Amino acid sequence: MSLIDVRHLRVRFETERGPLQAIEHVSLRIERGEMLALVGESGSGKSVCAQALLSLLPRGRAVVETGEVWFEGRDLLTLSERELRSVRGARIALVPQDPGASLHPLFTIGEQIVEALRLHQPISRDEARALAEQALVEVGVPAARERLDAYPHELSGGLRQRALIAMAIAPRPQLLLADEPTTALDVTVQAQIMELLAELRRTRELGVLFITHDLGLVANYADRVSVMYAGSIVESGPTRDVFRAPAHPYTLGLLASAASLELDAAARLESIGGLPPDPLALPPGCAFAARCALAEPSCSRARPPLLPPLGLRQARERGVELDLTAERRVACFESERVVARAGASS
Amino acid sequence: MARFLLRRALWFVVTSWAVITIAFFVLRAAPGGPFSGERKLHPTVEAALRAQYHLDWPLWKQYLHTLGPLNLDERGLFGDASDVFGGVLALDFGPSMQHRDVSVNDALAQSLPISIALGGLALAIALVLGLSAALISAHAPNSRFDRLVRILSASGLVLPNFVIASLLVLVFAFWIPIAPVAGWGAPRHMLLPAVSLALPFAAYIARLARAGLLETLSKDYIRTARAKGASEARILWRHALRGALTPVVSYLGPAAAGVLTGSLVIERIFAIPGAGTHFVASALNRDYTMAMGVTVVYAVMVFGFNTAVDVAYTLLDPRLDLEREA
Amino acid sequence: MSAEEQQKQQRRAWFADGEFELALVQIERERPQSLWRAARERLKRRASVRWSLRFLLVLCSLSFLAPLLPLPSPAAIELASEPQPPQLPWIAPGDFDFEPEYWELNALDAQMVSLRTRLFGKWRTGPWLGTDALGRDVLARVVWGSRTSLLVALCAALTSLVIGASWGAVAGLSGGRVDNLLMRIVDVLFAVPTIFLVIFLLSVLDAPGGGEPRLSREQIFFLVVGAVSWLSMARVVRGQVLELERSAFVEAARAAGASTPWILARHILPNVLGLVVVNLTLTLPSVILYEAFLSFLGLGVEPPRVSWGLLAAEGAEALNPLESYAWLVLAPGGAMAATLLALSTLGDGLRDALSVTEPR
Repeated sequence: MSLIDVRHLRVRFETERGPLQAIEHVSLRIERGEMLALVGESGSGKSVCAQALLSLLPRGRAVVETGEVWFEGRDLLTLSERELRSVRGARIALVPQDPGASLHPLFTIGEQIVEALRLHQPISRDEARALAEQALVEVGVPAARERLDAYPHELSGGLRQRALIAMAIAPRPQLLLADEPTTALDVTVQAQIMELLAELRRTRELGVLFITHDLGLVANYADRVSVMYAGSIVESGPTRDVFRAPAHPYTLGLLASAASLELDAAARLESIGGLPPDPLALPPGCAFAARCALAEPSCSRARPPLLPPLGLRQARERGVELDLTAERRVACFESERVVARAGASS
Repeated sequence: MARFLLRRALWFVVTSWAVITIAFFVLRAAPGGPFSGERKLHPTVEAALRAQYHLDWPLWKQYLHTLGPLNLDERGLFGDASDVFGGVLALDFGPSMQHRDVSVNDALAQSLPISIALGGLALAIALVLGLSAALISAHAPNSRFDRLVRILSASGLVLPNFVIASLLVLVFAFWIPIAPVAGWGAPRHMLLPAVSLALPFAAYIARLARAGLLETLSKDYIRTARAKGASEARILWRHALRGALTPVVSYLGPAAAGVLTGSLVIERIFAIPGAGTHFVASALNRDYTMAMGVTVVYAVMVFGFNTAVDVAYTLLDPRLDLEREA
Repeated sequence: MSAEEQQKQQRRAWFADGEFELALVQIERERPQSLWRAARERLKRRASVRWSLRFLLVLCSLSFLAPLLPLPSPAAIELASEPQPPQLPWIAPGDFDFEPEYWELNALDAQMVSLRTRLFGKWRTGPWLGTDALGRDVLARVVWGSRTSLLVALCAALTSLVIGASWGAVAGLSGGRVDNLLMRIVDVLFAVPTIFLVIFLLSVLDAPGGGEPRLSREQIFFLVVGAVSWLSMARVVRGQVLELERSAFVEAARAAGASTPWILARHILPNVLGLVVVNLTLTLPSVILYEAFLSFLGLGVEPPRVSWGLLAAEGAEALNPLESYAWLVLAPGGAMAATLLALSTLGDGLRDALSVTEPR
């Protein structure tokens, strides 16, 4: 059984200008010790997704229309507030975006980690403090003991980010929802944090939902990847396979615009032109159709369902190393033509 | 912190000197004097009185005399005038010029504790009432209770406190007699005056704290707390309240000054023997010594309270640096 | 073609001609205007603000036209009469026994009174809000009292605008020592009990050497309240100016070589103006309350003239356990409450509309 199994999650926001479909039919699965990367442009619904899993979206403004979030035999969306609290932080922890705003400015780092611990474990303040220090050491904070008594504004952005990660992992959760945990950091620190997560996955069998738009990190660390566009998942599968033979034009575009990735010259496209659609007025068909070089008239009439991509076998025959038994999904009518570009030149 | 307090102390000296000087010259410049009341005194009696209080001295000498424990008499700077009072620096304000058998110090020692008790109680009521209203309000914004709080806090700010006091008297002393109308001594005597003094400030605090709470609750770090598994009550009381307190605390400085002024009115309505009566009467009657006494006390209280507020402010918000702000 | 499209086309034409600078000037000219226009749109959308404005307009006109209204005399005393409770207008519509009895009126008011007698003759309204212990009509007194209260508020607002805003602006703009000195003076004045200053000013200006007063008590009163109400305005304006001076867009303008007067006129002034306007609307209520406070202490306008504060103070004192003359408090109190509520609603609305945030 998977660690977490999200099925058909749909979230709507009530805005002044009318209802906004923030995410639509998002399904995700994460196994123990696995890292699933959720990739997409800002505004594509990645963070909403993470917050919806723990019912952290602003009440009254956000409505979860449909969906199930199965975790440890329970559907989290049906739990009472009290039951949810025993899951939040203790079983599933969130590493929020923007470390500058996500730590309480008026409490010390130590107080905040201690609170995270003592909310779920019947331990004394001193014991919690010792554990908090240990967590800070684990995430590589130098002079951890002194840092416990520091206020967030006294720390650098990198240290704040690590403190947030320490706060998340200190209560030893089984699943980490890491919302762009490395965006604010420089490259060397990024690598340290990613290594740390990798180690936690090995030692604690920690599952990680890694939300990012850094495809380099995804390529190096994530087991599987799901690509989101305009609130929907458009492609998912093992990272290696998706990167070798993207089946959705949007994924192809993303990969092509990431300069650091080696990709066949023939498949290289320019940066994706145009803008994502207005979330208040999504088109009836494929949301990407307006920006897609391969779009057919039929694309803007009906929304493509999430199905196994076509043309993978042919790609493998052309010499692209692909695991045809792995589960892959794509929401594109023209996936065969997209896959055909992979390995075409080699 | 030590450096901040030191600088504050220095400023305190400068401010008090300025206040004393302004008060001294303002009072002397005002037409009339302490003995030009409605009962016309015999010229010789008046002259004797003026001499007794050294009002016949040149102004600079009177000023120095008021200011400090200097031994001054008519012959020069250092005489042997033994009846001379100590002066403000020695915290001796001398005898009242209106009630000649009472010293200003005694009068203040008798009335000031009453005013302070009343004012302190009023501030406490204002804080408790305002904060709890704001907390319940912020717990369920736009609920019926929240709307009630908003209306009440708006109406608490639009009526002079003597009108509030008289309405309270009308309701709680005449119609539903549960509190005495006037007098002083028993705790129940404090109830109506303290509440009517507190209500406008409670209203403002409720407004400030409600806005602060709602703003804080929308912050990212509140979501972090929620993701940790903190309960709504804990989030409101521990995480949000802390942030919402800062504007309330910084309001306490002006509020304390406001309570002091407001108590002039409240003490008169409820016939409370506080220091408020001296305030107005001394200025109207040109009771120079008494006026100087109440001015100094007022300035010290306002200054002390503002300093305390600043210190509390830094304790609440570690991001502020007193050393730099001083 | 809509006005907006026309504007766009015009701009495009300029750019085509290469008259880039002209276009920039035009944009500059449009910017502050559109800020105020946007604010007005936002204000109009709020029902509470609309109602407050309407109320204040009606109040001000009633107040100004008080001598013209068919009210009983606010000063005519009927001795040996008990206070009469309010009577509904259709039960006691009015009487024909008006006597023009007033305190010394200025020329304009006297003109209005004579016009009133010509218009309405001896007819006057009934005791719709009751009468007081001296048989004076409460409604008439509340309407006449509004003149003092509103005038005090306006004068104080003007003084605090002139003294406070310029004091704060000078402090904020000069910075350094001048700023320090000016703000310390404000600090010291804050520590002086204002009540002393008020009493002093009242007695100095009232009767110098027991002779004829140089100014009327009302005029003195306006001066006094204004003189003590400018302090917080000075602080607020100074804070805002300092903040603006340090702001990115002023720095950018300076880096682009804009002159100091240009920066003042284009960047600082429009931004401070919003704050000043908001602060003024919020000063008015506190001044009206201060007037009431002074009236209660017997330092307000002198009878037979009236103000809301005086009426409320008289009403508060007339309360007793045997006979509760509640209307004597409720009438002036209600008028005051409604006015202050309207003013603060307007102020809050303005603050939101101009999105002014008060600096610490």
